[in-house]
Amino acid sequence: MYKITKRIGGVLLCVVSFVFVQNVCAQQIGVGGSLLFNPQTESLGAGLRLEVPYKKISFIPQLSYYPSFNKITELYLGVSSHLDFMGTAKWKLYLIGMLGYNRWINYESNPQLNAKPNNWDAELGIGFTTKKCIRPFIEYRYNLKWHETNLGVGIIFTLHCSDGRKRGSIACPGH
Amino acid sequence: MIMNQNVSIVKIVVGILLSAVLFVDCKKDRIEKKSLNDYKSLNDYFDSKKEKEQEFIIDGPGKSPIIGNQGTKIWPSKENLMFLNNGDSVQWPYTVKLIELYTPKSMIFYQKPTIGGGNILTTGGEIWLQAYKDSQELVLRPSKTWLISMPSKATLPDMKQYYGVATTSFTDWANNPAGDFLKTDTSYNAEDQKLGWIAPDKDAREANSVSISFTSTTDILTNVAIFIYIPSKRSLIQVYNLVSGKIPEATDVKIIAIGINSSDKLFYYYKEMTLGQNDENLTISLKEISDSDLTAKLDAL
Repeated sequence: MYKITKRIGGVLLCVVSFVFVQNVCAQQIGVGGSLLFNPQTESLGAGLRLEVPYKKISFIPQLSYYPSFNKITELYLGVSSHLDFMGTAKWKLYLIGMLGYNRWINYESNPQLNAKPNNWDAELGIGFTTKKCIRPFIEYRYNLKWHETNLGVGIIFTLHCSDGRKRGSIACPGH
Repeated sequence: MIMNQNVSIVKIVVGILLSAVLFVDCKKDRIEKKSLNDYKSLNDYFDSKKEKEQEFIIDGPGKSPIIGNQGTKIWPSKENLMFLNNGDSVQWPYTVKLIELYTPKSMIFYQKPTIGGGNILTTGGEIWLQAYKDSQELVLRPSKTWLISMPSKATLPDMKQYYGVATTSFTDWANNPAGDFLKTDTSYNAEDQKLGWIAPDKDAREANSVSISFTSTTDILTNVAIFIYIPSKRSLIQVYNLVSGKIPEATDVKIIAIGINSSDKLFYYYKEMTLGQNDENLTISLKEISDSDLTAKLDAL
């Protein structure tokens, strides 16, 4: 399990690094946070993410944590891809695919499951966001490992984008 | 323009349908604890599977030996009998009743493990032998015996007469009154000194022994009957309070647990293992099994 997770993580890191380098110049990288709710485990969590767009796809390294006041205490670390799906000049819908690692911290809370602390994670979902420099977003994700949904509401700050113009309109100096 | 609108509508509909399908598939397994499988007493089931009691009417001389279905031979003697309550002599006819347990399966159905004083015993089989005049129980006179012969395909040396004494929850075996079984190639023979349960047994305990404890995250084990058979010792253990008695370490054992639910469906757990040098903790989970399959499993012990 560790080896597979490590291998997937390595590949994803390479892809993200490549895209990241491609986008540093364009200054389109976003950072953000979110509040998460898993209705199946009745858990509230928080997430942090870096958003690296590349044409119609964005790569989002992210970290999510569901604290110990929940029934399930766990951590997710992974990279999701967002594919712009449809939209207008002001907003867009995007499809989400994610691979990552899940650390179920209180995995012994339900001994009937014979659960393990280290797990793979894969998610599919759909999201909505605007196209401004400060962009609220809302996401709906389905976790293929646990057969659970995650609802997320958050905000992304696009770096070096302070004039209120739409994201993507800033040209890279020297280009 | 109309084309683009249609494409957008299709995308939205597909997205909503996909989300709906995924949401329907959601599970709360991680926080919901399933109710444990519960079982009722196995006594009725075991009673239905027990070896049947055999009955012989002794109405005169020339009836010896009487021979049980599985080959047990008994040479009854009227002169050696008396009434339990007053010591009176017995007249013909009288009745001899016999139960023969020669396999782990039959001992399991009778819940007659081979344990004496808490220690495992090697056994050559168990029989129950009793005599009645009408409904009154008869006993052997002091210092008087009946000759018995118990068949065996592979007899062992040094087997002794072990008599079964009923306690509140099980039958305890003891070499009391003391006596031996003499072996031939095909049988154990003895002068039976006391009617009731008798077996050719010998102490099989060893200094270095371990025990097995049982737990389950899926089943309530209160009414589950758990047995451990030790082929090399020809010994059967029944587990009480989820912890077995002492078993010699580095021994191959066969473990079977049986449950029956309120719908009379049978469940079992089976495992073969070699014990190590430390006590074992087994987490067991019972699965449904048919009566015939369970019987086949017990036959294979």
